Amino acid sequence: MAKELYNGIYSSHKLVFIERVERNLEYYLKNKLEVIKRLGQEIFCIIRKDNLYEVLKELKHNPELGVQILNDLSLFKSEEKNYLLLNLSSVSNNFSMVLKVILSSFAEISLALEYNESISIIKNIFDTAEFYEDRSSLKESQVDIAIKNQLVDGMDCLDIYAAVNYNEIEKIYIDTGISKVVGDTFFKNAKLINILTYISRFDYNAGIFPELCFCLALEELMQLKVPKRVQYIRMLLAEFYRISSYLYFISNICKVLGSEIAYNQSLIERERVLRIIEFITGSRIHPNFIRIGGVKKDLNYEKIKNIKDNLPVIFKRISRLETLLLDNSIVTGKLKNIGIADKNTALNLGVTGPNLRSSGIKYDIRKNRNLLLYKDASFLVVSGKYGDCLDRVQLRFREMFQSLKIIHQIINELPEERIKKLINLDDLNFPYSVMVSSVECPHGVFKIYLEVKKNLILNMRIMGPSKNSIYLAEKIIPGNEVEDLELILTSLDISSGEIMDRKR
Amino acid sequence: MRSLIKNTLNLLVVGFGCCKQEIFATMGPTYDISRFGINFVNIPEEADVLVIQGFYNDTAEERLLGHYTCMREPKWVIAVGKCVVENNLLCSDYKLIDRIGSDVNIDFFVSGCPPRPEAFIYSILRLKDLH
Repeated sequence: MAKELYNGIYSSHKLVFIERVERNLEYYLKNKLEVIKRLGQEIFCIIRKDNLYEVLKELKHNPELGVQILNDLSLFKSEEKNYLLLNLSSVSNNFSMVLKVILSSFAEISLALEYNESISIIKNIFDTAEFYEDRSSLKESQVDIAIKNQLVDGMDCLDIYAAVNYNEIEKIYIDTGISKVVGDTFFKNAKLINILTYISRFDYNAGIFPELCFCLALEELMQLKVPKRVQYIRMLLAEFYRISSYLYFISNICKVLGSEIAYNQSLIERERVLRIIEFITGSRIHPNFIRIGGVKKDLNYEKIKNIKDNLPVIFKRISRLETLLLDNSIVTGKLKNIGIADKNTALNLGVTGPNLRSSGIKYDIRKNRNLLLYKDASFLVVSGKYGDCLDRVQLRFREMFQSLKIIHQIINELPEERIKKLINLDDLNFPYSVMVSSVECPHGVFKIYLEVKKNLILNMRIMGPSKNSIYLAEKIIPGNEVEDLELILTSLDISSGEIMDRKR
Repeated sequence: MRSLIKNTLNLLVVGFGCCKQEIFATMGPTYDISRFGINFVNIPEEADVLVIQGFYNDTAEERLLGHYTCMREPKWVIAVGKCVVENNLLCSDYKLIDRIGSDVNIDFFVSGCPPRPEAFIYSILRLKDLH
């Protein structure tokens, strides 16, 4: 109880706890770790494959560490060696870590064997590892219904294969093969300037978050102190994008439910928010606004006045939209008790963001970590109770009001400071270094892993939260009716950009 | 274009990508594309115009050609966004236009990354005027 209180009040002192975890790791796994480092607010370790089982066992069963969640697993090649990258996190001890496992084989055939072998090791400890196996055989085994290429945005990058008994779904397999579109050359030896402009495509429903995450990583690497006004402008834009993304989600839900008036209302409001964003950044979808150590342009008097004028209107209209949609017993009847995700299922599958919060766990990186200057703003971390579709819709409405609250505080407390251009991107010259950083995007925790040398990116790995939402969908959909399939998938708010992967 | 089709054009949007948001923004009351008699449909047999946008790989490309052959005559095609008009943004050596150019006859190109909703509406109006 005391620890929880302490965590809640002094959010700026989170680094102390991470140092403690690092010390514990060094103590318990001294001989088995090759490298242990603290990268910003994350922990980074390198181990050999022979020690994988023992390290994971210690991480899971030791109460001082308490790592219970496998968020992401991927295979990648760097400097002619093959590695396995594991993204692990612990909610009880409030930290996350990246584990890099060195594989011994070089050739493709032996590499595939080694990959399968290491996954079978991980599966003994984390059940979620079964999703990272080669599962294409499931396609042939269960094809009562195959759904391809939907019109609704967010479901268009998936193929759904389901086995049904009359009207009830028994088994489901979601294939994301169609979304493997990124070329091999994109991540390797790409210039920093190019990546900075392109990266917002990896979460195009809320384009600012990938940019923000990328710039935060490089700032942490350079130990750069960013002015307070810049941080405030970043927070402001992040919250506006959060609202616009949630409104788009609500419009999609209305489209599926067939609620025409609410659909039109939500699109009008989204347009209003997008116009404010356009007035600030100059672009609607891909802002290209955040720079390393600053932002592209300062806010002037006109822009602040525009935001101040529009805020009460947005507040009023969103609350009207909420009553329009959720005071309707037909709509709530359709949403209630459908697609229920309980606490433990959501946690074990590595789901983060609103989908996790709707099932009753108060986990938000804005509060739990030292992200930007969110510690200055007062807002609530909202959480649901039952984790059904209604909770997921309701939670987004409540979070929008919290975002508006944050924007209101930022606008009133914006410090007067002069923003100077600090860095010329052409002149950057890093030694070989590794960096991890994460932000809370509207779909969950968005994480980037980088390897940088000079002004080139040697390797990059983007770990979006939507992948875990798909795994959650595979768990919770069996038992529901076929007609609810579209509704459940839409209510999970899957962003197609985050699922995009390397071409095979 | 015969007046019967001209006043009720059915659009099929294929692919996934950023342009899809801007295309669907035209369905809202702010831009309201339905005042020109335009509907979005889900089935290729019902569609008159195919809108190509977003990112593609080999599987998606096959699917796109399948949609095109399923459509009935007369049919038109609009290519939206930089990834289709030029090379793919995330994979520089992949050019969709070169790959499907011989099989699909594209009538209009809407450039931009992504193009504004007004630009998309303008392309539809030009299509109506010309044919």
